[in-house]
Amino acid sequence: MGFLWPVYLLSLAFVPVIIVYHVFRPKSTRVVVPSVVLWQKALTSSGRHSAWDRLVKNLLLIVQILVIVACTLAMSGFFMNRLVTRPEHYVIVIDTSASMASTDADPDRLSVAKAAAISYLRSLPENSLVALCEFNSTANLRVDYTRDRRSVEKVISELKVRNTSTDADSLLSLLAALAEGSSYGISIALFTDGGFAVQSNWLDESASKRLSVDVYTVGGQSKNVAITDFEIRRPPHGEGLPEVLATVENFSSERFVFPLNLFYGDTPVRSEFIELGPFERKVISHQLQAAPFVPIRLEIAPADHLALDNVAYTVAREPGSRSVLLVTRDNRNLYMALRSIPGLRVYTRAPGETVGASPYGYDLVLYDETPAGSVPATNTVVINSPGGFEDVSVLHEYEYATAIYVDRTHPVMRYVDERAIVAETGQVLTVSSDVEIAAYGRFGPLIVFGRSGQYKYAYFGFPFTSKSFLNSASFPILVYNLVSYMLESSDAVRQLRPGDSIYVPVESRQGPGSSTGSGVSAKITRPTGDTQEFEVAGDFLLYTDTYETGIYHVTVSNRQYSYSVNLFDPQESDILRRSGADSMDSRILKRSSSVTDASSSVSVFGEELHLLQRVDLRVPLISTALFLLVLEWSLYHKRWHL
Amino acid sequence: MEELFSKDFFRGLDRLSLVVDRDVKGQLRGERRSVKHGSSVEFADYRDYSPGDDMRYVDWNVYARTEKLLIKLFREEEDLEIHLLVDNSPSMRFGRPSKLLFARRLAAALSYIVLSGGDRCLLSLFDSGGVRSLPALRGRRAIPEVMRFLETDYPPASETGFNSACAAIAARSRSPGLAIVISDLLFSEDYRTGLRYLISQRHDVYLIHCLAESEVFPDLKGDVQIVDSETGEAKDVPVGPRLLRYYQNALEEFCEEAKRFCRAYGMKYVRLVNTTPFKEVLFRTLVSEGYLR
Repeated sequence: MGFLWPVYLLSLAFVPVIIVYHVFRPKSTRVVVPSVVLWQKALTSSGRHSAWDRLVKNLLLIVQILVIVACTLAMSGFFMNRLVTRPEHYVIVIDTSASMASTDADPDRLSVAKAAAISYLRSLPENSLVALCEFNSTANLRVDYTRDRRSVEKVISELKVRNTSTDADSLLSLLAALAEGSSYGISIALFTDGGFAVQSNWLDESASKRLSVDVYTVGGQSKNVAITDFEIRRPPHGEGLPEVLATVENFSSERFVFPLNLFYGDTPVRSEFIELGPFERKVISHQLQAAPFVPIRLEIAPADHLALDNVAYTVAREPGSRSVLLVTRDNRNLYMALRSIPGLRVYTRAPGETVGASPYGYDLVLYDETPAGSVPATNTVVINSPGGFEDVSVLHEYEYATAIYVDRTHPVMRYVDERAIVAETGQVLTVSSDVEIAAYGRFGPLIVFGRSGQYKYAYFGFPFTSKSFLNSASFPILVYNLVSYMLESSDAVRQLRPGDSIYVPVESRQGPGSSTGSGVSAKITRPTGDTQEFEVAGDFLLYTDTYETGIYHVTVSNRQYSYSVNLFDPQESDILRRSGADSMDSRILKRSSSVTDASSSVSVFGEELHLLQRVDLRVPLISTALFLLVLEWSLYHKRWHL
Repeated sequence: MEELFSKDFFRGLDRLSLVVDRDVKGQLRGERRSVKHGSSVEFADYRDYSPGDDMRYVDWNVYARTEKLLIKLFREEEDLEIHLLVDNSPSMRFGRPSKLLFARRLAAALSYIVLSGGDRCLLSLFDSGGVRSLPALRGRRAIPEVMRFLETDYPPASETGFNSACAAIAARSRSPGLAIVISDLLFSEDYRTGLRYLISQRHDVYLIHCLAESEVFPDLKGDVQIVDSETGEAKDVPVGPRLLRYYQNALEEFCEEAKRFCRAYGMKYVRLVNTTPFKEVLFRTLVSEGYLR
């Protein structure tokens, strides 16, 4: 029993006011009668002096006091707690993202979570229905509601860490679907090592009443050093052999000194010790002495708890010569940045110049502050165009807004210092959900990537005019990344995340878009060395089982493509223990506790089959107040008398 | 105030006479059969002749048959002393027409009948201030005086002194007669004591209980402070259907009790409501109840 807003209890001060009013209010009508003898007899006969009559005489006062009390209790959010039987539907949700491989728990976080989940399962009431969900970058219902505990236990024991990031939204969508599609209460046990940022409106009010979540946070005191970026690129300025760039980050408060080894194929080309302070990040570069035609591997060996992100792979191939058209009034900095990229043939045209301005025949066209047309004829970059482009619409222009938030994991934003980007003036954009957003400004998306048919497009919602931005080191890096991303083709380097799809266009014998008729053979060699062969019937090969990190070699029609798959997710590498309840929706969070050891008897449930449920009494109190008001009105108008 | 007597008020009253069930013992000659032997034409009895008796009353036929001298005795006819007591208390001033007006009209009609019948009429108005009476009147010539008396509006005293009024009337009586009491009986004192005074003087008592329509069916609702018109006593009463039922039961019980008391003492009792048409009261109700014929 309690009050949500006790300050409203001050309204009870109206009670003495009402009493004083009743004491001093004008009395009843005065009527002279021949004699009161008969009235006295009538009153005596009717039991006028009984307790009930004294009550009735003051009924109006009592009802008014009750109205005030009911309204006050309703306003102050009066509630009571009651013990209710736990729901008979249970859902076990286990986090299998990459961070669950951390060995800060014994033997690792997932094993502890699995043991705890099995313990939870065994402690559930007989005949209750249990479902099992697994979530990482997606959420999947692994076992639908069943009373067969052994099958659930078997699937739990078979769960493995997926080298993917954690997508809380997919989990919440699944929970919302479970709650909204049911008429019964659902108790969810969530075993995870992460926190969640939850939007307040992800679950409607009625569904939240049916959902209760116990969060069991898995993990102990952790420390981790990770490779969060690794790639080969040509020097931005000048010719020469490419260099290797890598980012190594320390996600703990400890200082680390550890060996770093770089392998060209299987040949070690660099070996050294690196020191990283608490939460320090370092970019490491290495000039290659030969063209990177073989996979390159970077290994670090810190004494940390997560090994998955201690190895990174990359593959590069020499890009072919590409032609780029720059449509601009006089953006020399942009032109010079493009010219500095090896292998590019850069052409420029002024806006409105018809000769040679057609995008056809170019691999990439950049429209700098000029309308880009409606139908993309090739890969297109649009910078601050007045009319927007494709899925990007311009609401209006803005001035003096500088705050920028960059998605550092996006390929175009690699090695770009977001503080260097200046967007004091620009456009307020609206975009469709199909686009990728690489940077946000104060008024919404600033850098947007999308796809139109077979072509890519990029949209920058601010002009490339600020001198501090154009003169910064990040500007040519951004342009390089942009061109590399836009011209990235099937035979170029592909950096993938675990779970990303490998997409390889297949050149059919009849030409693009037509039915191939007969299949094309394809072979995939996984990082483990396993080989899988396919018959590709359509225009492309799509391979999705990329949860192993390493190099995937794909051979289609005697052409070989290489893909490196790395975790490269700072959030996943940051395995410092967090409470999952910190940001969990308080409407559904029932309890949060910690699980650290699988060997001990983990009793995460079983202390009771009942739970304390808060009963909100505002609605009944308001109803009572309304009823009392009607009663008071009736009494006041003398509808009710002896 | 409404007019006490209309033009045709006395029409038909000559045909009515007051019913008295016993022989009277009056003072003057009248038209009522007396308990005394006298000189009327109505034979009463024989007695032996005594020297000095008037020879005209000797029954010669009996003497011829029996040779005994017997004197014929005849019934004496005397007048009756009729007291009319009208309640003039404040409680009688309620109703439309007021109970007092109703009672005065009734008293006027009864006085007319009494005086026309050759009886003595002693009309009195009583309240707590005492009794206002006319002297004993007789004969039609006294009718205007009675009417003037009744038309005069005497302001009432605050309370009814019914018992003392009855005691005073009883003390004034020189011979047993008839007492007609017209009142609402709403006294703070016990009205039965006063009635007993009258009976103790061997009066026949006719009680006419006047009630106002608004007393039978009170038009009250809600929280009301009722004030007694005579004592000024106030009471807060939450009037509702239930209490009205109890009030009407109390009124009915009050009337029944008065009726039982009258019957026990050989009095006549009739209950009248002020809204009843006056002719219906005189020619139907009082006739059927045996007051008039």
